[in-house]
Amino acid sequence: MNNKDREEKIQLILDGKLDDENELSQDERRELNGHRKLDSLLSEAFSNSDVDTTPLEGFVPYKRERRSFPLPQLHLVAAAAVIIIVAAASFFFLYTSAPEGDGAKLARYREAALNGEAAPPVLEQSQKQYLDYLADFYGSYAKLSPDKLRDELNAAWEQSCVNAFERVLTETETRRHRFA
Amino acid sequence: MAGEYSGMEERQVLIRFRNGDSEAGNELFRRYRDRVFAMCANVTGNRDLAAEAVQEAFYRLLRIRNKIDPDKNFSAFLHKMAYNLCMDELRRKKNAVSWEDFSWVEEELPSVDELFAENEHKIEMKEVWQAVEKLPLSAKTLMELRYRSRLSPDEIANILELPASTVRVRLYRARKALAGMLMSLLREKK
Repeated sequence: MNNKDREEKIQLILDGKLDDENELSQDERRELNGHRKLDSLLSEAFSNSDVDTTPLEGFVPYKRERRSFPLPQLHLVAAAAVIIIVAAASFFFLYTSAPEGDGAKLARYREAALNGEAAPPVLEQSQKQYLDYLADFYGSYAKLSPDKLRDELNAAWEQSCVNAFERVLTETETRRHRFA
Repeated sequence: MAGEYSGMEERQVLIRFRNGDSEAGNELFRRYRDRVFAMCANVTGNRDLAAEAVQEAFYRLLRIRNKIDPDKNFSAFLHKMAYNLCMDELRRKKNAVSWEDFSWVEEELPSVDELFAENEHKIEMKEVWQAVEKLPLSAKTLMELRYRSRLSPDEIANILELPASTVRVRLYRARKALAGMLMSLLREKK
């Protein structure tokens, strides 16, 4: 029997898992008795000693749970947050972002075009959507046919672009003459 | 309220805890705080990290309370959860001291019976503690689990993810190492 087997055997006898004490040699029995004494000394020492748990002072599991969110409530909070975000995003896109965002973009383009700062941009999909929106809005307000109003707005917009483009060309031509 | 629970059988406390009784949860904390903290302090070698691991273990316990089986070994389960949290913490803090130094296991250690042959009736608790404090963290952890938490070698093996035979041999040798420390202390005293 090697050392490890012998040591394991003594530990097994000590734990009451093996009843082979009578088969031990005299040396092994002496060793077992020494371990028994130390075992009971350690049991006594550990059971009569307090652990200094200072870093844990003030921690009460349920208080912490109330401060944070246990899992079931966390689900509810997460679901509520998702609903709020979806609602806010819908509102933003339906009533805020699409018309105003495109409106601001159009105004900037128009301003730039009228000031001759840039060539008039080609109408983009978003700008068309904006014109559609304006047509629907003003059409219903003025009791006009939305289609007719849309055509008129398109024409007006394109005309303003053409005008601005011409102005840019004229100004460029003038500058070229001035510096020539 | 706390008095009502202090003498209660653990199975009853666990059933109440599972049913959402917060005082039962606090009672479990009171019963296990010291033992689990002592294990974590040895495994991490750091009392603050140990406190975090213990808090996290109890917090997780609250979250899974409805899955707790009161007929299973709760002590081993809680120790295992806290041990895993300590190991996660050690892996995160790469410069943390590893507790898994078992080189002492291979050292030539004195026989335990020599200690008692020389010093029977002369060993005081204070000296036992002085010797325990001098042990490597890995030996101290085994001692904590065995003698404070009163876990069997099989339960300790499950927590530390070691073969049960290894735990039995290490427990045996940890006592031998302790005997060696005690002998040196007592000889110095003479």
